[in-house]
Amino acid sequence: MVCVMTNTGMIAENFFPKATGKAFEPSRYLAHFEPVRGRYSVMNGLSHPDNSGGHVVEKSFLTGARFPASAVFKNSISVDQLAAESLGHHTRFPYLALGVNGQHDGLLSVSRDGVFIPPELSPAKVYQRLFTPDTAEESKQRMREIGQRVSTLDFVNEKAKRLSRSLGAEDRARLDQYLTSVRELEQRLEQARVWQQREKPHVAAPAPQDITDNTQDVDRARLMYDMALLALQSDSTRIITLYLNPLEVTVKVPGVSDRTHTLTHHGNEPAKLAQLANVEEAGMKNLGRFLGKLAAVNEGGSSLLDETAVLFGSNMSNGNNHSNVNLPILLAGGRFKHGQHLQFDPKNNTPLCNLFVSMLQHMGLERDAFSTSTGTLSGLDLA
Amino acid sequence: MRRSTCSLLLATILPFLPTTLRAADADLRGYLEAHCFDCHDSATKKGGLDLEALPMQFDAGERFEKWAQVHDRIAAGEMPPKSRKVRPSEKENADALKRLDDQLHAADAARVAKTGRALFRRLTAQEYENALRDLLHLPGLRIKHLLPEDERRHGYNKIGQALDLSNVHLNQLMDAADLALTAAIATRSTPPPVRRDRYLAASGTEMWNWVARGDAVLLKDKAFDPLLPLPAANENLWGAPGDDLRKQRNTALGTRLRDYPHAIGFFTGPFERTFSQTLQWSPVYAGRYRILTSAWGFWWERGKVEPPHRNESFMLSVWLPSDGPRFIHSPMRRLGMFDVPTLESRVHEHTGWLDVNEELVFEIGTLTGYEKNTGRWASQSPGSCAAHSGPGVALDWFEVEGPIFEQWPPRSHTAIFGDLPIRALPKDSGLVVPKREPVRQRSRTGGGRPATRDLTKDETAPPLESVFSEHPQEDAARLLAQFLPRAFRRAVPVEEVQEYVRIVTRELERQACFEDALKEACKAALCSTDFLFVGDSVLTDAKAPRIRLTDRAIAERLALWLWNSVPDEELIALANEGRLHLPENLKKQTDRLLADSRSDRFIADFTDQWLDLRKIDATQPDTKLYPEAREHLKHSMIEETHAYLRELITHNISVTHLVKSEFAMLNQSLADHYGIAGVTGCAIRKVELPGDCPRGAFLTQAAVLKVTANGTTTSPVTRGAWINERILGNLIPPPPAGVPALDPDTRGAKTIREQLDKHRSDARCAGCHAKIDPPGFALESFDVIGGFRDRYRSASSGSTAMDFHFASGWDPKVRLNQPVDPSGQLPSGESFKNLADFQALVLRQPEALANNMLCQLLMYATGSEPHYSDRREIARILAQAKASHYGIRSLLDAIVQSELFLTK
Repeated sequence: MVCVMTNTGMIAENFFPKATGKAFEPSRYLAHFEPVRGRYSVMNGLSHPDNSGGHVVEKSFLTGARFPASAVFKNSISVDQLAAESLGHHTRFPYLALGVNGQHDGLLSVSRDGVFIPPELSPAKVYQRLFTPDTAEESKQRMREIGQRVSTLDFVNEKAKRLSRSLGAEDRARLDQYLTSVRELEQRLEQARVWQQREKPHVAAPAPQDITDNTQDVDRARLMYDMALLALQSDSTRIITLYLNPLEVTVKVPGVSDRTHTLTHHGNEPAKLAQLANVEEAGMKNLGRFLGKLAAVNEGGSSLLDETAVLFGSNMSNGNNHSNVNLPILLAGGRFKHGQHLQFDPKNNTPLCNLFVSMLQHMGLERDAFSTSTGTLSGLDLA
Repeated sequence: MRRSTCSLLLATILPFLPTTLRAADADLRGYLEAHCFDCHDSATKKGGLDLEALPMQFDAGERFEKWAQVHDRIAAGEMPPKSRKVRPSEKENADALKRLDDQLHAADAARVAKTGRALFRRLTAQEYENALRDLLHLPGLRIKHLLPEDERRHGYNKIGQALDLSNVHLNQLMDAADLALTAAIATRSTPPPVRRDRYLAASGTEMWNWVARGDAVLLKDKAFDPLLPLPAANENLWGAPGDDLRKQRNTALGTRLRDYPHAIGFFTGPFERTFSQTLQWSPVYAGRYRILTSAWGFWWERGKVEPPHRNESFMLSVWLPSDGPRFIHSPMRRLGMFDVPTLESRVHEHTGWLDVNEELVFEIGTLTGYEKNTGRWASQSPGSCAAHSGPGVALDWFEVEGPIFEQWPPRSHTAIFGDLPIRALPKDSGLVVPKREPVRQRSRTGGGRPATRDLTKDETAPPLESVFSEHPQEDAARLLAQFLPRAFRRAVPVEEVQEYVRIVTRELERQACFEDALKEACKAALCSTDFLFVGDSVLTDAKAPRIRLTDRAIAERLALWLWNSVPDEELIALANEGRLHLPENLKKQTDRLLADSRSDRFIADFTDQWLDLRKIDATQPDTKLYPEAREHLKHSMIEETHAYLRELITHNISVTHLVKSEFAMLNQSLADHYGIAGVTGCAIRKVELPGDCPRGAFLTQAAVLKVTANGTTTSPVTRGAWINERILGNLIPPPPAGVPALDPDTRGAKTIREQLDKHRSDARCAGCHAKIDPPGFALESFDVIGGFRDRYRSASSGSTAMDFHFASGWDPKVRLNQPVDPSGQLPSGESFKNLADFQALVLRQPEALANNMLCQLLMYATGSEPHYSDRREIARILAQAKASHYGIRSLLDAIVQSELFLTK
């Protein structure tokens, strides 16, 4: 499962094809997806109920938690973390949270306690974690460090448990989070200890160099997509989230001279809209390239794309008015029957979490509900 | 259907309730039947409120909130609505409100008595960083960026319910603790050598390109140095066409600039672009450094140096550490701003902590812009500097001395290891070698000074040294007995110290050296709840009306509030003696904490949260519409708001000054921006304002106006909601679902007022928007960076061109379009023509402002959401504070002495 979110919104008429159903002419952006035609579906009319407030809806994009703009908002577990809880143990990394340009108002992956999981922003570091073999010395040191950390966790756990007898209920809930964190971290470290003794997978691709100029946003995103591809190819993980944040920068794309955020507040000025379209298109080309590469990886009869459901979308539809309904959503890959443009009720949206349920089921989880879902996504069937 | 079941249930319970309660309820019910049920019974349920079915029970949750809302709307005179003809008498209202208030208060107070208002919670990321900085005496320690950003409730991350913890987070806290301890521990027996080097302006190779292009000039004896001749009037030095010419000029310069003893003058282009240039100096050791800069100001007139027309300033900043090369937009922190008012060279000094691989950057302050690709340089016009005229700043040299340590080993080290010696660790000791970071120049900028080759062998390949203990068990016990009480803010019994000593023993058995073994014990301490969590966790006397905090918890609260950190030794000592809670000690400590420079952290953090200043970089002003926006201005804006709050506290100035002020805290950049004459220099100072000037108060400060706009447009709704909640204290409900978003049209065909017309014309919208919008309309007179306007700017439409009065005469071609209409009407019906009228109307109710200020401070200081049962105490504090016109310091002092602060 791969979940990609861009926080800019999308110019609807460039993203969505004009026709609905199966035989649609690709839109301007989707014209770049020809190599994977028929292997993706576009959906219009999806959003999270009780989710409005513009940028702040980033927080709940993968969780569906209600009222993200509220002063007392409490987030819930994201769909990728839910999958990782059950399936993460199969791979060295239960999940990979990746990002380009760090945080804007929120992040993608959310743990069970509603806490954001910070994404890895450096492709070089991702490569290093996944593939760069440790020297014998490094390995010994790592095992030692893991051992020390586990001992420390045992120690603080004992001390904290003694506390809990004297606490009131609400205070105890806070402490329980600490105790749960200690326990879960110990489990993760134990698993890390096991994996530390196994060789890391070998890949032909060389270690990348990070691009530090953040106006090279397109290239930076492409590099991160490449890392995601390597991670899936090597089965280092089966669950990836990718947070794209072009809003903060002036993206180096021909014709663009202003920060993406300023462009999204185009006020319907044609000059700004044109620049924004260029930025969005570049992002979509990156996605198309990623999907094409997934399709080219053979896994004994089927391609990696056939095995991996890739979700792409944004928490906003129209950046100019900060609308959070009728979100631009695309699902590619997996064993779904693709090649369609699904149109749901634009005035009464279908919950985006329905798509998440479909994705969870595709991964083999026996769940028929997730957050604000009302079922699986109708019209999206398995092949 | 559920509601009628409730009513049925109520009917069966009612006979069993005590008679007095029933009587009060019956009176209340009578009031509701007479004045509310016409609209709010089960049949009509106007606005979704069914008072008939709402049971008179006040357990926490939605029911309680609804009754509280009923109380407040009646108290505010909003209900029954004005349109109603038969109205309750004053006495009827007072009685009903009292009955309701008694119920609400009693129910809430009962809950608070059992659980307290504030939770036992973990430290926030900023508190954690500050705590480690203080505990380890490492003022420049940076670890906050390793931790996830904290969530907030009601805008504050100090409230326990917002502060969750996951295993991911815990792992990062452990990483941060490790980093902090590593930074604290000395790895040499002698201090690193102190270097004092003076670098001539041209010694940094990165400067040379500017000179070759003609965007910077060589200046000797305050005049143009013809060492590199001026370009001819038609020579083009820009871009690809200018390649050859630039190469020629570079060759002509050769390596002569390396030892060039005179100054380099930098100016900005017609668009007054940012000049931001690395000085190619980056510390090899973390520590305190003294930086001297010799600089002066000038006016450049097509090849001639003249005295500057006004004061300019430059900024000294540092790029944050990075593994890769850094650019103009790489993350930075600012060290300081300095003035260059005349042709005379001035030496400026800055002393402070620098981290390894932070890199010094020289920026021209008052003249800087922001985005690189929309500006123009001198070199972009034919003739380059020969054809350019404009202001400039010249740099003679800069000098760096350091790392300066008051003692060796440094305090950070002795805080853990006391005075144990640091000795060579023999290679055959059989112990695990402690990690050592190689000492070298880490900056990836070419030619970074000091270069690795300039370091001595002793520095780059030092002998392996580590702290030595002859009697590790005893030493560990002794040292931990010192460290733990400071970390845990309390006395630590011997048995508890022994638990940590056992960690040392365990590590020693695993062949660790003493340094690593004690480090592990300290790490465990820093990850334990004793360090990480604050607030009392013990339930005390169940009969008490509120749970009194221990002195330790009071010490924590006071320090977390006024220093955004953990208590220091003086506070801990007072707490250990059980004397902190005494009123005179509370007052003395408040005075001491506010007088200490660490209280700057409170000012910065509180304004970050209360006034959203942390969002200052969330959006960038549209470069086409706001070409006068400056990085220097942005820094000045933040300083203004900080200085203003400090001034209000120090001189106990009335809360009315949130809204209107007769003075402002300004520097030259701000004064220019606000159109106030006679302010020179980059230092912030108090300026008395002319009577009709709207500036000064938070309401009209540029920082506030910027964070309530989005860089391109302002929204009266956004600003109005913000003013209502942060300044006036009116809670604004979220918009109803299904309201289509507004599609702002900056082509200017419609003004924002026209677009928001439905807020007035549609009764369903007007209910809330009659309250939300008016402050926003009053502030429409201020643009996205807080500048005054009476017409909206547009790139394309409008009858007049805007005159920016740039020194160079450049016209960015921004047009002035629709006129601004800052008028409006308050929910009370009173109307205002402009901001001044609006201010006057708001100032008629200073108590409302004081009430809100108090609530904001209480949330921050006590880490608790507002509770209904707080109200009586708040009313008492306000009655007391009235005498000082609700001075801010008086409010602070009242909080410290209040039961809301001294109880859980």
